[in-house]
Formats: sequence, structure tokens, C-alpha cells
Amino acid sequence: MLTGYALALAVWYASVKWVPLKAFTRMPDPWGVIHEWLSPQPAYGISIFSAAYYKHIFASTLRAWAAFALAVGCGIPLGILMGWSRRFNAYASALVGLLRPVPPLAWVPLAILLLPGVEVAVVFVTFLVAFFATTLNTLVGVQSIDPDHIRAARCLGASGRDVLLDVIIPGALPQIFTGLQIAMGAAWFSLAAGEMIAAQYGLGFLIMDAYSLIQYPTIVIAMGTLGLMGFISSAVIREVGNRLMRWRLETMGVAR
Amino acid sequence: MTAPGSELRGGLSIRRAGKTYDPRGAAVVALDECSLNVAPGEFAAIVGPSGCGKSTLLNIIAGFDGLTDGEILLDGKPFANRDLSPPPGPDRVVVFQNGALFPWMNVLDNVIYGPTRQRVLPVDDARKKAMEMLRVCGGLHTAAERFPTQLSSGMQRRVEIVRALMNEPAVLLLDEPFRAMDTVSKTVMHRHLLDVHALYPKTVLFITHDLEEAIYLADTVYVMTTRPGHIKRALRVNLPRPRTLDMLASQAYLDLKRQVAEDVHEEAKKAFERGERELA
Repeated sequence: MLTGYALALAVWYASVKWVPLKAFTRMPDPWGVIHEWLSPQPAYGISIFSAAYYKHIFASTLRAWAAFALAVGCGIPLGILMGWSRRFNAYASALVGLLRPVPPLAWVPLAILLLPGVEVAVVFVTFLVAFFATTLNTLVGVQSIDPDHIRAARCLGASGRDVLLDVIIPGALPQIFTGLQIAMGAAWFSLAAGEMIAAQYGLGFLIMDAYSLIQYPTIVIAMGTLGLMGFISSAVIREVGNRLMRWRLETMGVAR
Repeated sequence: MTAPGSELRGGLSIRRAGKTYDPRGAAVVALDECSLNVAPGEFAAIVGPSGCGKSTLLNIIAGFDGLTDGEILLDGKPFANRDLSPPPGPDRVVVFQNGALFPWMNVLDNVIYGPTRQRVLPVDDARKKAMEMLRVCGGLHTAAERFPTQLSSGMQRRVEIVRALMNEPAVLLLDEPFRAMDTVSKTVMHRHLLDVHALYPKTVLFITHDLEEAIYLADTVYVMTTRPGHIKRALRVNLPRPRTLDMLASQAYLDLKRQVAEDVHEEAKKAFERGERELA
């Protein structure tokens, strides 16, 4: 893994130093960026020592997680309902099928006009993609449940509520968490784009701001931070999933 | 462990049962005039060619499907007919062909699922009862904390049988439970099932297309015709219990096997020929 990181840095360094394109020569090399990132007196105002840096991170993280939480809160119940009732699925998938192909950024102008404040609009656009990913993966998860598990539960005297809590939800959980990973990735993706268009704070805004001032190192710092934030978010979701699905780990962990 | 009077439970009377599937006008008759009587505590095996309606019959008794004709009585009480479809319940527990232990629950939680969800036992008592039953049924208590996928398929099937027995069902419905197993594991499972049945003498309805297995295990073997399915012949297996492997070489066993094999072969041939005609 370390070799991979080293190789990536080497490619970056090489492309800045040796690619004979004019545009690339203005690109900072890895050392320049890292120096700026860690500098107590950054040339362009953004480093790990500046309060503004954390303000941007905080704004983006808050938006991403708020949108994600909303997507989970709406998407999982909706996906379960769609998997549960064929009729409801017919109605809902028609709607989802129509709305999902609309690129998230296409929503931005309408969202800003309709919703109170730019902040809500950015969160809404972020929510939207995460919501679709969560809903559809939950639906697939419910549909992939072995019908014999439901039959077995009913034989053993389970009520409808028991079947939901003991079979449907745990049975769909692996697929739900796959959906959550995708949702989180999609959330950061559209969040950065949304912030570039309409926001006063956040890492996406920072990139756009640095761009208009032609501050290369700051652009790269913000990009790297976005990547890091996305990586951490994924790791958090994976960890929660592993705790909830101990049975899958045990199964894979024991060589038999 | 056996509840008082449970010897008298589990009498099944299937009278001229009929089942027609009619999804889009093209009626498929799965069962027609299918009649049989299973006495309380009897081990009944139903054999027949693939697609003859064995599993349909089991699904109807389990409550997964309804009858379109005839009726079924459980312990003398009307239980299923054209207008009456009982929901699945703990008095008729199914052990499934491919196994249906919940992979997200360990063995113990799987086994206590029935009594705790029905609220007939507090969790602690259910655990105690489960550990005892697991111990008696082949020393499975040592695997109580493990997850189903950590067990062999034979172990899984044994746990599933214990999970069913925990509910003290009137009828145990086994839907080709050993189908996917190799011959050696199958023999071990047969021994196990015979032992468990001796310990907990429930009415058993065992669906299979393995004739030898049916004769070796059952008190009565019912041969089903090809679709539309009904009972072609009921054969009393007069081998003494406990059954032992050397009985498989006895004359009585071989005679039974010849009879059943002829019947099943005849039906399988009919199904095969009809299939060819339908294709032509």
C-alpha cells in the first residue's frame, strides 16, 4: 500500500517536472503543496494552521453528513417499503426512474430558487444522489432475501413486525451498507460541485475561490482534503457496518 | 421433554385435495383427488417424480399456499379447504430443502426464535430448553455460539430440525432436506433423523424422490403419480424399529424397493413421454 502512495507521488512529481507541456510547469510539485499545507505562515492563507481551513472543512463535513443522514432516514424506509409491497414499488419506481437520471447539478438552479437559502439548496442537491443510491440498494437488498427465510420465520410464529425486524432488515443489511458507501461517495461528489456553484464556505468553494485567484497550492490542498474526508467517511460507514454484521465477519474469518 | 398428550396430536387427513394454478388462463393442475391419512406420530414419506406436486402438497399444509378443491383435516378439525387457508404456524414447521437458518443469528438464537417470538417461553427458559435439545440431538450444544455458515451443511440441517422441534409441532414437514448432500453425509443424517424421531415422536411428512431413503426412514411410503398428482400407492414399511443399516440388505427391504421403484418408474416414464409429446 505504501508503495502505491509513493508511486502516485512519483507520477505527480514526474508529470510536473518532465512533461513538456507549458500548463503543467505552473503546477506545484508534491513538496511545494505539502510545504504550503504544513506551513504556519502559508503563502496563500490556507494550511493546517489557519482557522479558515477548518471552517471550510467543518462546513463541508456538516453538509455531507446532514445530507447523508437525511438520505439514510428517507431512503432505507422507502427502499424497504418498495421491496415489501409490489404495488407501492410500481408507483415509486416510476417516480424514481424518472428523477434519478437527472444529473444532480441540474437541480442546483431550481433548488436555489425554490428552497429558503443557498445552504439548504446545496444540502438538498447532496441529499438527492445519496438518497437514490440508498433507496435502490435497499430495494435490491430486500428483493434478494431468500423467501424461505421469510417462510421459516412465519412457521416459527413471527408476526409481520417480527419478520420486518428479524428477517427483512438484517437480510438486506449487507446490500444496504453497499448502498451507503455509494451514497457517501456520491454525496461528497455532488457536494463539492454544489459548493463550487453556490456557497460561501466549504472545500468546493475553496477550490473555486483559489481558482479565481490562481492559487495552485490551495486548489490542491482543498482537493486532497476532499479526498481525505471522503476516505474517512467511507471508513466510518464500513466500521459501523462491520459492527452490525458481525456474523459476516465471523463467517469469513473462520477457515473451514 | 415431550408434552403430555402429544402422542395423540398430528393426525393428518387429506381428502380429495385439488390444486389448480391458473395465473393467466393456462390452468395447471398440480394436485387432483389427492387423498391420504397420516396417523399421529407416523413417519410418512411421499415419493414421486420431479414436478408431481409433492412440494405443492407440503406448501398447502404449511400454509404457504391454498387448496382449490377438497379438504385437509388436522386432528379431525377442518383445517384447509377452498375457503379456508391457514396461515403458517408453529404447529406445522417446515425444514427447507436448501436450509433456512437465519445466517445473522447464532445457533442458539435461531433455535429459541420460535418460542420467544410466540412468547410461550421466557428467553432464559427457552435457552435452557434449547441447550438441552441441542445436546440430546447429537451434541450440537457445543456449537451454540457459532453462526450457521460456520457449520457444515449436515450440522445446519440438524440445527434446523431442533429449531423446528422447539415449537413442539403437531406435524414436522421435511421438504427434501437432504437433497443436496452426498451419499455418505446422507447416511449419517438418516441415522440422526431416526434417532431424533425416536426421541421426539412427532408426525413427520417427508418429501423426497429418493426411494431408498423413503423406505429406510418411513412407516408408510406414499407414491405419487405424475401431474396432476394423487396417491398411486401406499406401502406400509414393515421393517422393525430401530432401523439399522443391515436392513438395507434384507429381503423385506428389497421387495419394498422393487415395488416402489416400479411404481415411480412408471410415473416418471409417463412424465417423460408426455414431455416429449408436448415438445413435438
